Amino acid sequence: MKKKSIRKNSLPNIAALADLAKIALTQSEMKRFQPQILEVLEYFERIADLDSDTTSDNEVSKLLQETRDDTQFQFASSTIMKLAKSKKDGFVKGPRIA
Amino acid sequence: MQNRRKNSAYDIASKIRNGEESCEEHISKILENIKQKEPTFHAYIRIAENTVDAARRIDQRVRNGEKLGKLCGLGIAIKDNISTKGLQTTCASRMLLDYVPPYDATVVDLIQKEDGIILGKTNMDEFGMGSTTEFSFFGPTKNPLDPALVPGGSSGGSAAAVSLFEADLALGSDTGGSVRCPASFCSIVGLKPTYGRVSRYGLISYASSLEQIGPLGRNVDDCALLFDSIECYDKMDSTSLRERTKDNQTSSPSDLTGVRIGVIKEFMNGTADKVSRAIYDAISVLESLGATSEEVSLPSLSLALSSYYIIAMSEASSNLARYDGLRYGHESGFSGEDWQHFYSNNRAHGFGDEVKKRLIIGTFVLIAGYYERFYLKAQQARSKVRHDFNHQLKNFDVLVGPTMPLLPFRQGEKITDPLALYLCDIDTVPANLAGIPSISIPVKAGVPIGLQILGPVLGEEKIIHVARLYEGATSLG
Repeated sequence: MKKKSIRKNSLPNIAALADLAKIALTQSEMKRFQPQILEVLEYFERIADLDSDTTSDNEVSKLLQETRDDTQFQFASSTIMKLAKSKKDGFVKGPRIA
Repeated sequence: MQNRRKNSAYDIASKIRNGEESCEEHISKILENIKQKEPTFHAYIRIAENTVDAARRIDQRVRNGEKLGKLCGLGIAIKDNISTKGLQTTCASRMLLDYVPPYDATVVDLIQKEDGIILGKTNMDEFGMGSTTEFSFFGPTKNPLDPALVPGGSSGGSAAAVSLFEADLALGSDTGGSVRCPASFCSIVGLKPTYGRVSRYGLISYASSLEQIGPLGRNVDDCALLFDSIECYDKMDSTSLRERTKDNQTSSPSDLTGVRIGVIKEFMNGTADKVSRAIYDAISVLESLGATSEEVSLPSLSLALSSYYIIAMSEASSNLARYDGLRYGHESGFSGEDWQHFYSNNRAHGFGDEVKKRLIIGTFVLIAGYYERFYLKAQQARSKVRHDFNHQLKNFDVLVGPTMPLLPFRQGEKITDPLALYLCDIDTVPANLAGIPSISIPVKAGVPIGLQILGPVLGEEKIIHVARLYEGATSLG
């Protein structure tokens, strides 16, 4: 497959990316971040040169699947609720959404 | 075992334990030092209350003839991404400005069980994202050797506190060099343990598959003392290792006869001349102690930095998704027309620039169409790095190279050039990718150049032994 260059149209709109990351960027931030992000992604592209045929699939899937039983630990709800800024009737109260 | 150095943490704990020195006086002296030096260096974000009362209780227990722990009466600084019950833990971010953890991290619990005294929370790059401690909501920390220079990061506050005698010992966290980099730049000792050797329970996550909590001290014995106090299996950490090795404070051979050292070629290439010369001089010292050395190549290291940052940013984009201003974190006061606006505004207001950039890149490399090109390739490269280290650590007892490829630079010099900053981590990230232990020790007292010694999984004892003998031969501490 032909590689796409990051600089040539393959980087999604920075505003759309920020939206996905749930970060409301200002215009000035977008202007400042865009060249820096592009430069970093261009550097990352060297990883595409990796000859993945020599890496065993087993090793990769093992890396991606390292899990074990989780141990549950519960705090008293009063301890946790102390951290909430706004609460009502034992629930965390969110803002009014129009 | 070597003679413990005068005024080392080890020495101070022994004196307090034996009643030769008052813990109250010792802690008061540190607090006075903090008061004098903090306006210039800013190592701490917050000083704990009631530390003198805790010291008095230690003195009383000594008078009662009680048996006290390894860290008896020592003042210990904790990086601000490690949870401390009842003491604000902010990750140096506006996002967590008001967060007071309802529990202690396992490492904090262990320190207190060994009778150490928590002095306060140290400054850091926001959420551990940086190599200079300039990306802190609370402002930068300055290098103790020269306040015009950066102290390294992201555990720069912890390293500076130890270097300035504002703490006997400190804890940092090392995701891609965040303990070893500031140890090198501040001319102290820092250890990144084997992944899973020290519990991460209570460490606020940045990149969970890479990070480890690690100790910082003014000499190797001090660093090993804190490491011995915090390493243990912990059922609360899903990645905690059950395997253990023996106590790092026990006696070892007095020279390095028979020790095979591999000098990592890729670490030496592209290193500043002054750093390179200092490292080759350090290798000569190791040889004079009986070790043999040979240059060794790990070809996969050319991809290590890209692999590391892709994985770290991907994990960050997931780990930091919890900070939405409702369940966790800063609320900007903006309500808006929908939840997306509410969350996005809270996050925009709560996070600093470097965190925002990394979260955006982390989101990008995970989206459909780019996942295979970046994230999957990064995991494959990681596998190769791990393989290369495992292979070479069968041929050699330890591997060495510089901790940092350059000397500490001026505050603000690289702050607007993220790639230049990321490139500073080129020699530290491989140990995190491979999950192996690595220690940084100053090549010479007061010189901000670290010799990095890497060992096999659970090989802390081995690298500490080499570091200790090197330190003894160069009269550090």
